[in-house]
Amino acid sequence: MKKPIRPTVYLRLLAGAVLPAFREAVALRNRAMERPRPGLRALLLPAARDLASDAAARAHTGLGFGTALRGAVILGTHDPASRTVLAHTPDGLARFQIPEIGFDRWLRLQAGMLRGGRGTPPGVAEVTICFPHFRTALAALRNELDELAALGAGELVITGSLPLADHLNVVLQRMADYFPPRR
Amino acid sequence: MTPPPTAPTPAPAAGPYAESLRLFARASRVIPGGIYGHTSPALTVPGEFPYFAARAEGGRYWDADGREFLDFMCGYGPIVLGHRHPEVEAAADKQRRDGDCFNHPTEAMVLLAERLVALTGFAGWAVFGKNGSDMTTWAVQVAREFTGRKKILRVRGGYHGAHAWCTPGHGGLIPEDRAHIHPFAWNDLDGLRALVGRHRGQVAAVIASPYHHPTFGDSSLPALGFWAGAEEICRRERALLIVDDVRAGFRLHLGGSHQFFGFTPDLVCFSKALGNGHAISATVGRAELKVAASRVFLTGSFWQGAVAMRAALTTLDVLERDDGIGRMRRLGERFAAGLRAGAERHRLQVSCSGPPAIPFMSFADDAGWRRQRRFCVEMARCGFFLHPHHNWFLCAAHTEADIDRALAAADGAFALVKADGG
Repeated sequence: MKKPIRPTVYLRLLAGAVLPAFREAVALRNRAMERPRPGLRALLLPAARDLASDAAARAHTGLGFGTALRGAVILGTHDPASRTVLAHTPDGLARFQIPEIGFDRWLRLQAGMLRGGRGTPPGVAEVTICFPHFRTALAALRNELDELAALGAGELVITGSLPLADHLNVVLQRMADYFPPRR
Repeated sequence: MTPPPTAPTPAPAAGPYAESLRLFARASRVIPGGIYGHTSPALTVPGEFPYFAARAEGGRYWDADGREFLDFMCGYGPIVLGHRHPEVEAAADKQRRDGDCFNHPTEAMVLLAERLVALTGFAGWAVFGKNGSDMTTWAVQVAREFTGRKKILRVRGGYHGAHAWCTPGHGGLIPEDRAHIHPFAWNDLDGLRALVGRHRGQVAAVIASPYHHPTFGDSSLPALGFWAGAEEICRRERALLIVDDVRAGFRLHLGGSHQFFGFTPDLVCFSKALGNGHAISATVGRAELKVAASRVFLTGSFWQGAVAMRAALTTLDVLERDDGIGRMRRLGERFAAGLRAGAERHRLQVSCSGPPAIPFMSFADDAGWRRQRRFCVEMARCGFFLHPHHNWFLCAAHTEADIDRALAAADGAFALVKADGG
């Protein structure tokens, strides 16, 4: 069920998660062989037709997941619904990997506060969330993935503390309440 | 219309669980999650455990690939005498020939209520359902009806079923579902006292399992004085004490786990082991609550099914006659002692927790449960089904030889864990 969104949290997400991703997207567009459609919404919340090519889909997957993880840190600090979830989440370090596109980031929950970063995490991860194929990650990002089925099929691999991954996923999904994916 | 991005089609299933994986691929197309709930492969180590079962007997079962496992999960608890116990199945078959689902209950319901009232020591009545959630939710309603209060205090991380007030899931909930549900930490009497103080005059009930058995965690027995203290707090506050004995019931004491731990609750919910695999649950309560209980609507199309009630009556009889509970305790003690000794031989630190009949073992300093998963995957490879993240269950059909075989396999699994970096 969709929980209420707060304008102040929306603005913080826009400034702290979406705009940095937009800057990355612009830089990526300047380098890309195949140029994604211009504009903030097209870059960050593309329609399905804009993801037909691998290049666009790969770019969007990395940007989208990066935005979601940055957003999770902001939500974990300012969004009451996310803070309630984190208050009942075991502390720990979670690593997020999408090897096909070189995506490797982490979130650490300590005493109810979330921090995040890129690359090798600062310690042994309590849980690693790995999408062996970027298309699966893209489906997750667009709220089109049956996660339990993907786990059983090995299309999504979670190693370690499932409760930590499960609760962080609730916070990550909260991004879609503020920035709903385009259908 | 452009099709949405989808995950790639998985490679054809191969390996020891090929048929399980094939069935899962089919299931995923027509069933949300493929397999949902506590038996979801997501909760084990996907690809390294069977997903589908085919048949079972005694302390063993065979998966969809025909692989045999010594069953240390016992259907996640219901199998207490062993799969397809001949006496239980004979009683169930006899009733099945006479009929199961009638326009009325049968004598079996009266007999079973009388039996549970006699066994549990404190209760004056019993009612029946099919699952644990049926009973815990109803018991909470009875407490609210009896006290005229709203608040329910529960142990943080405890499991009381899949209904909105208590589900560990996140989907489909609204804040109002839990507006009057308040958690406290297991074994924390001061925390409970403080919570009761904060909601003075509003607490309808405290609900807890007889001991704490979280998934992804060690089991924790009640601290000395915890239950006596909780009982005293409830009496003083005139709140009811509800014991969710769904998981542990009939494995620690034939009359309910409250008798094992030595305290007196107001309501106790049972299920799992009561019917040795037949779908039945029950709540028993103090005589003073009977009028309130009669006012809380309780029904289900299959809840008065006679087959499960006959199975339950026979299960209780056989458990009592054969001292099944003592047998499970002795087997569990042998298992835990053997696991501790095996780990020590390999210089590994393990924690064996929970009552012997419902054991669990985990490794020390095991961030991400890596050693635990390695150990349990290797045990599954050798034909022993031990869940890596959920407490295990013994049944009375297990033998000393079964335990010794499992310990021999555990020795090899410990060696692998050690070789992987200990």
